[in-house]
Amino acid sequence: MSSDKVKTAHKTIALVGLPNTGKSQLFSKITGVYSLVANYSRTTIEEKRATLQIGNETVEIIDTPGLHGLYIHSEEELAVRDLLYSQPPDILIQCVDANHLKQSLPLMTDLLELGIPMVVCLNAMDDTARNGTWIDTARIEERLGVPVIETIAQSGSGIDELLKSLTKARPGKRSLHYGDIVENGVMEISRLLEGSVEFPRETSLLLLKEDPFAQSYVNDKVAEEKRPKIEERVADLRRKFDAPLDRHFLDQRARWVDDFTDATVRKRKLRLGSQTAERFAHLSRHPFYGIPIFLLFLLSTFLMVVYVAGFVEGKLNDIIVDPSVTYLTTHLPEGFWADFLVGHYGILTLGVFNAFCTVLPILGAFFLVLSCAEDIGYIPNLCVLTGRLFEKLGLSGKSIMSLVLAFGCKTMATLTTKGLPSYKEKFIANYLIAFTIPCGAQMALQVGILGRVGPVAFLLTFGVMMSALVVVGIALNKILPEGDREGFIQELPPARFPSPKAVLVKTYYRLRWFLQEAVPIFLIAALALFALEKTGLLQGLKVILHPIVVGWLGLSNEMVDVLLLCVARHEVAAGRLLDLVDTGILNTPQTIVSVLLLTMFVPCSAHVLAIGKQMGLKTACIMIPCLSLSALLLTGTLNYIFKLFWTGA
Amino acid sequence: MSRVEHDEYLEQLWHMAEASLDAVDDLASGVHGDFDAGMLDTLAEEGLIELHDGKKRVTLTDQGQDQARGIARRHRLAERLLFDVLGKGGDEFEAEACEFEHIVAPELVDSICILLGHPRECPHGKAIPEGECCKKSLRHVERAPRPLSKLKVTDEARVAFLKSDRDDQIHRLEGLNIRPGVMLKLHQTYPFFVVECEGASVALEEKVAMNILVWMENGGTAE
Repeated sequence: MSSDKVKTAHKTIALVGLPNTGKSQLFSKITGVYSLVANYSRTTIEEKRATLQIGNETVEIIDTPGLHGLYIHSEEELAVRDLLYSQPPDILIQCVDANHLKQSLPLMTDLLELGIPMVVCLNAMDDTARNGTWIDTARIEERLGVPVIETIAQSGSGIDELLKSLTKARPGKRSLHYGDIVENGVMEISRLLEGSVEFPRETSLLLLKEDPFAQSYVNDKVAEEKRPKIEERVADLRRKFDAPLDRHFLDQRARWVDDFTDATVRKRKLRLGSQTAERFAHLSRHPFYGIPIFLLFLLSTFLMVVYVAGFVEGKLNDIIVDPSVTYLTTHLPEGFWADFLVGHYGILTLGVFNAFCTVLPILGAFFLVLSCAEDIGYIPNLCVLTGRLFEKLGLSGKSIMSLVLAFGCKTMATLTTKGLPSYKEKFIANYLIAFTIPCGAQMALQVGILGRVGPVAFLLTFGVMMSALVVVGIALNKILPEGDREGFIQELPPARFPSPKAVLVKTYYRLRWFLQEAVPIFLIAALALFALEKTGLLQGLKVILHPIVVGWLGLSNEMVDVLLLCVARHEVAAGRLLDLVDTGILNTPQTIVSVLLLTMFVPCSAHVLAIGKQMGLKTACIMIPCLSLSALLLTGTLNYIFKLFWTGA
Repeated sequence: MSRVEHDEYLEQLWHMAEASLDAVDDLASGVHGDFDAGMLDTLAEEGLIELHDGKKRVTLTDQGQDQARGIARRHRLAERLLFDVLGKGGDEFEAEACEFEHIVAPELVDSICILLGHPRECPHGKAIPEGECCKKSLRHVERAPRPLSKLKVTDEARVAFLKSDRDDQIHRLEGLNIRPGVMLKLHQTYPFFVVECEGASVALEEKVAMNILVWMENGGTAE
């Protein structure tokens, strides 16, 4: 091992595995720190760490994004490999979906090459019984020479055994051999690398696979006089081998994987349990039946947000808001304190009550539907259904997933565009995410707002939004120079019935995050607006912005509040907009224009930072003014169209 | 005067015919090494080419066309074989394909063509002239690997090989266990292809499905 390893005070344990094998769920169960999970790949995009007391030892546990193998094909995976190389953990836990053991084996061969003490965790054992897979765990243990523990991360079974087994973790047996010629060559190269790099054997294998990272890593770590010798050995071995070495590695590994599964896995023909969930998944990506299912999904979102949340909101208003506002207004003398608490920009009315009694029920209802869809595994199927459309917009493969993820959180979706193959695709994906897609919270509130003025407004607004998506996408696709395209390959998660507990827990954590992150901003926003009003600055701004807001957009002057709040957080802005609609300041066409403006206008600050991080400062500086200008242009035009054709506007 | 050079002139004339060119100057600039005017006379004597306009223009006779087609076919099939199955790329593979076209026996050419599933284009995108085997394959269903994209829903097939235009794609597919020897079941073809492989479902776009060559089990129904 090299000497420059930063020794931390305590042991580190890294959880690694393919995407969607339950690493995050396992992480939560072990550490008690909730990590957002969903039934599809790529939910974790950055590593998470937590420390934990096991017996009398403190250990640090690291949850990592999904990894297919150490020969890398995406950026997130690169991050995991960098982590393994720069701070080798003391113990690796490979998380394996027991139902798809075979799929995890290629990664396992790579991990075994590292020689780090390891434990294998066979997760989702409950499903194996249901779909007729029988796994010989004892045999796997014997073959690998490391502890293999069966778990059900969802219910927490097997977690104790897993933690206990950590003391027995050891480097596994390397039973995958590449034949004498290669093995001898690898040994020689490893010997040359020994002492200067981590994992000499795996590094030599990567060198032979012509991995660019391994090459630069070796250039970095190995003394210059040693390098020609290594390069010569690598070239020599490649020459000795007639067929491409790359193929040889893949073939040998494939044979090992087949042998391994033949010896350890049996499949029953008969599958227990119903296949309704599978059938549903199939229908949901069918070009014909998929569309009604998608509409049903939208409709249930609409009904939940408008009626269920509306009902809760009404009750809260009756029980809490109205009595307390009445009480305060009657008992406080008119003036500063009354204004400060329950006035137009009162910290209670615009801050606390708005956040808890209006926004929270709407988000709760929306997140319930969303979490449910995620738990079923609906989202990747939706990607399949809509993929063709997105392709026309110049997007391919991974970016479709990013776009769909944006309906959850735009900032996170922007972060997932990191691995896209070309600048063009990255640009289009980020532009569309920022311009035409409302994030989950925003979407929920918009449905709430539009629900108040009727379903026609709802359909019209989302119609305009989708048309904008298509038009802007096609336009950008035409304008930007062609880039490298990557084929669409997407694993589909096993469909299942939603587990009520998982859905509730997830909704709970999402709401908790909202409360932690957004509620303080609600309060600050209320204070800021209150201060701006008292100092007369708000009035000034309203005068300055009058030609745009009232003249061009045809909205009320009060909308200036909403636009200001947009920059802070869109939920807060939407909260204020809800207020305006409720008090009758905006009519139906104005509501539609405002909702669209809210989606498309300046992204919230977290999102702006994410765009800057992904696209670079220069592009971000062009993109964000472009976004805001096109938003004003589009909504203004819409305003004039409404003036012409909307009777009563 | 070598056989190799002889064939190379014919092959070059085939390229020119494809591009509707017939000037001797074009031929001279197209062949490797020094242009040998004597070769033209030899070819004309053999009845493979005709010279016009005082030896300024040259065309293949019917007989010459047959020979040239065969050479182009061997060369481009060799390219496909090296490129798709052995995963070679770059300069090495062009040189190897050149050698290959001169040594491979005619019967073997059709076998290679069948193995590759009667490809229509070489890796550079040029047409591969049809052989007898290609015409036959239109009349009979034969056991030849075909692209996954040609299968029908519910068809089951075994993967023969993956084409390697993109290394990352092959690695990705191998990572999902889509590799030579495994069984695939096709579930859906639109909007994307969905295949079941080792108990897991994977969605692919058509371009990717075209790169997965499969053997149909028991004859198959696909066209």
